[in-house]
Amino acid sequence: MKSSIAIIFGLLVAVICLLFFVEYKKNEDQMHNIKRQAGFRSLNFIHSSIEKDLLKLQANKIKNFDNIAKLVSQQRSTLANLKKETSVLFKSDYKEFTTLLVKYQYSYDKVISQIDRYKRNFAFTKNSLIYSTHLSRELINKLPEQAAKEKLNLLNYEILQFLIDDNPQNAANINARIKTIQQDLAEADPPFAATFDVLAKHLAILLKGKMSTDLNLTQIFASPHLQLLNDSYRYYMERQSASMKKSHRYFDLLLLCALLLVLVFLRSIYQLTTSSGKLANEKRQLEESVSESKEWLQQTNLELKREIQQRIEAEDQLQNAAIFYEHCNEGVVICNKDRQAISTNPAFTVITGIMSGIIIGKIPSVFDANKIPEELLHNINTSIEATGKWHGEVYTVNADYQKTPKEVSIISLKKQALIYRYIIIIADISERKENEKTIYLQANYDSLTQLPNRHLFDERAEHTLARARRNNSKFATLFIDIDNFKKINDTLGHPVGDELLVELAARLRDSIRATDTVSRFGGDEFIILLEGVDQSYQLQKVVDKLMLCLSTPIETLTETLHVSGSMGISIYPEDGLDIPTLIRCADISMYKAKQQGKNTYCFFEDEMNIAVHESLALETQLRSAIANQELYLEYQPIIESENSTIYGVEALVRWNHPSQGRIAPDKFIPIAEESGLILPIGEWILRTACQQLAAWNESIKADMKMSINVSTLQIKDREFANILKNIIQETGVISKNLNLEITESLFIEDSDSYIFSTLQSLREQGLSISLDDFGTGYSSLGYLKRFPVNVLKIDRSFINEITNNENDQLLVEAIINMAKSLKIKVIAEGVETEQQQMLLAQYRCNYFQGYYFSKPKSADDIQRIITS
Amino acid sequence: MFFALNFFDEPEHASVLGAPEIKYDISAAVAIAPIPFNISLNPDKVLLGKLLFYDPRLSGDNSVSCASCHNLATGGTIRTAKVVGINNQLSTRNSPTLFNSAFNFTQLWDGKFNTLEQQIEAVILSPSVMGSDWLSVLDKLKQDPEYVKAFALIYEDVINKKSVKDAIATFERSLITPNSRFDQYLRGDTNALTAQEEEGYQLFSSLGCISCHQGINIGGNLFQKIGLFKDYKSNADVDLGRFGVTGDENDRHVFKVPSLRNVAQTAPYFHDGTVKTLEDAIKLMADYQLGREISAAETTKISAFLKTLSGTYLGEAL
Repeated sequence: MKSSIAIIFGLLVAVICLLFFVEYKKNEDQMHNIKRQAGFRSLNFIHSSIEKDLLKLQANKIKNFDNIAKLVSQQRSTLANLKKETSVLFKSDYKEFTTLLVKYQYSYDKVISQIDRYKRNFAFTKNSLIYSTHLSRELINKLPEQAAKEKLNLLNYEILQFLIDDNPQNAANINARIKTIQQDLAEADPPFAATFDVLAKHLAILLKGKMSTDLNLTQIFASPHLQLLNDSYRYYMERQSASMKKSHRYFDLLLLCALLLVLVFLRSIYQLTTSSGKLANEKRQLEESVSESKEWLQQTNLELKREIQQRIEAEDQLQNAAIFYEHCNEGVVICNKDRQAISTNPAFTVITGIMSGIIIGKIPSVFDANKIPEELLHNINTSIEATGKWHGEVYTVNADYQKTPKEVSIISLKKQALIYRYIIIIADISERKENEKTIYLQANYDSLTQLPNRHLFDERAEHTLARARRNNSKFATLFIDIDNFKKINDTLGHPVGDELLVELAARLRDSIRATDTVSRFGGDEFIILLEGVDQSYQLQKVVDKLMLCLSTPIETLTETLHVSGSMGISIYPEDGLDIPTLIRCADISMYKAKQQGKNTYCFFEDEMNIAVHESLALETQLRSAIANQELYLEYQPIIESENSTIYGVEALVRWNHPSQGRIAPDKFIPIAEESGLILPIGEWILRTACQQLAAWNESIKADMKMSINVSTLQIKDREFANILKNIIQETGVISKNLNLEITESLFIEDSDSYIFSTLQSLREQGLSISLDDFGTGYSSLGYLKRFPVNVLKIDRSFINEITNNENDQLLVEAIINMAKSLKIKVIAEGVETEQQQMLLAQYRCNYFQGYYFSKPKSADDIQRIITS
Repeated sequence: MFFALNFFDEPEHASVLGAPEIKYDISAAVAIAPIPFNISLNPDKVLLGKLLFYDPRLSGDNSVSCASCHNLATGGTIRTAKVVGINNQLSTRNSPTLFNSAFNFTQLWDGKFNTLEQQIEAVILSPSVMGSDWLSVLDKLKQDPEYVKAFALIYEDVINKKSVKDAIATFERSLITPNSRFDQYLRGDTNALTAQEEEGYQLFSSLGCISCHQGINIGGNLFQKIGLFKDYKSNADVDLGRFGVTGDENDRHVFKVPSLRNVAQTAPYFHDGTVKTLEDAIKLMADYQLGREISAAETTKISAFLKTLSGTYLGEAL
């Protein structure tokens, strides 16, 4: 009896707990309910606000799109909140709710894009309205004829009329008016006709824009989204009140139970107090009956256990399948025998963006002849018929209209030889495809300029060659090198160099046809293949275009770069029958173009091969020239401006070739520099000139100066200082009479402190340094201030024109003044006439050098001039 | 009696509504509204977001941070046409400024993302920008005791993608640039602009620029076609713009109208970053959107006006 009371008490407690729980749930539901209703109300409010704003915008009551944009994004977040709030609802009670909400969202998404379009149309219509007013005023002010002005005024009236009432007749009036004005102006005032044409275009936009914005608004207002929102709200409210009623009933029922239990409990307590004596007897009887049934119970228990075990196992399997279905990364769609989708898993929605509610009951794309190619569908059907399954790649359209690749497997399930289910498994392989693409790009394209790299170029070139062979057609190989690229890189830094390459690459790519290939060959070299250039004028046109695009200045953020390129061109089949030969020929011609002064192009000629050989031969002969005493020096006097006396001479090297006679220095010095022969030749020049100077200083003029050209390579040579010191000691020359001429390229190519300290130590030994060819390169005051230079030599190109080119005059005067302020002396090179000398003297140039005074002469002649 | 029993109080409606408050702003009635001096944000989140913003560990190989392409010292962007992501990959478009981006109605040039959070996630996961994934990002952050402490304080110990995005987005929302000279002018200080700048503003209005460039961000709240009068072609591949997002034929060459706030600090211009100077950008706009050249004098004035749109960040001029 006691135990039964305990049981009843336990039950009572349990029921009361349940009561609390149900009440708690009810309250919680109520809270969610309030939030959901608030969500619906907010959405409704947002929609009406948007509509109001659109009308206000139309009426110019609001003047920006901020509020509309804000409302659109609020709709998004409110809907997201509402969805979160409704996700806890029991699906079985709210079957259609999700579908309704999705339909609402779908229809509203369309409205959002309509709103975007409306804003766009509205903005450019307004733009045209504003600007046409502006233009109209401008024209009325400027037009000379009163009649034309009046017509414009009439046009303005008609526009006003159209803005008030946009009926087609008003639009037609405007168009007719525009035509007559256009005709009038074309005859009478052609200069204004062009301005009026712009006005006419804006008016056309205005007419069309007004109609489009009206159409947009009509569509937005006609959209069923509000209806759908209200439908889902009504559906929700019905369901909600039904379930509230239900839970109220549960609550009442539970209260009743609790009440009954309390009564039973009270009664039991009462019985216990009256009948505790009967208890012992009853207990014995109970024990007997228990032991009887014990054996039977054990038996049954065993059987039950076995059954439960089996069930658990079966359930496990089912559960595993369900977990897999819910959580696998592949999208799964299950279709019935009519191929209509009956279920999808979450991954399907993730991959395709299609909500489950939308596809259920419909035929998935892979079975739909309207959505995939017929041939593919045929394949799928045959494969399923034959093997029961299919596997392959399909491009389908996602909910956001993106066409993406997917890997699809279809499995059919059969019952008694009839298909009753299709299972479609979908994997998103756009990432894999993307990776494949990235790998392809990395292997075949230059990462900086995005142009094909050498690998892809070779491949394409072979195709081009094969095509040309087959069709007996020609193609051109263009080898391009950017002039002075290294200098840009060194002086302005690699980022600027890179930006330059990217820009030039883009220009090159845009200057050729899509079928031609432009490739970055490494560094600053580009190669272009032009197919089908059978007519030379065609090729000429392309080449001109390319040269122009190379030499158009490039604007970087900080400065304007003036670059140029040199181009070599070879033609298949005339210049070579395979790609390596064609490239080599183009390369050689490119060097030729560089020699011709850069910023130019050069077609390959057979002589070039010869020229290359020639220069090689010359190099070999130059090697032996010193030993064979074929080199000799000439001296050109430098004249002091103040008293027209010889201040000193510049030593100039000459080569008397045994078979070719005199070879010009500008032909053999570059070869000497390229081959490194400049070092021994330079040393020979230094020594010879110093010997001569020592002799002259001793015999005829103690303060005569000697200027010697020193190559950049020599200064950079770490032995140079020692060599010079030895020569000075050997010859006994006074170092203050010695001047070394360097060029600006020294500073540009290498601005490190080594050069600086070398020049500094030369200065300390008493030598003077002059800067040759000033004005032709990257002339910069910065160099002059940083490096210890005593003399400037203004390049002959400025002096040539100085008497009749005002620019050159200004420039030379400025150089001289600048040099003076830096305490640097100035020599004018290439002075050929008296006028030039007069002018330069007027600018107070310190020294002159040139044919007007004397050509370069042999040592003996110089000696004769000085002594006479 | 029992049935009327109620165990709990009725919930207070107002506090649980959860729906956004909708307020009407007077600023709708003017074409351009000034930027507010302050916006209220959780300062701890802003600070944490700033840490993350400058942290290259968000990228796959720890080489790129948000700040790599959005340098706050150079107008919240990088002054090159294109930017470089992980493994030196070049972006397809010019990097837009982050300043005031919270006022933009969508993010990116083509409005691909509706929220900063979506944009942040896409950038972190994109193989050509930061090339990372959430597992490794969160793993790296969890190894840093400083982050563990900060997240514990602000997000109750949760370092997940939601809290990381929230922190960065909150920081980005704090990047506003109030008190430009033009804003001072809008607030009633008529001396804030010179005569030339004021004339520039009048031209900006009377030539029609203001029909697209309006609102608090002077743009950034609608899409528009670039090239109303002729096709826009740049040196790079022709960019189809919003068409890439919607697939709608009407959206070819349509882009988000960019904000003109701080425009003097955010060269180069346009989605392809091909235009280097403000003057060229103005001329190009006139050419493409008005179908007519405008005079050098007009360009100079408009440019002078645009320069007054530069605001201050944390009290310092940009």
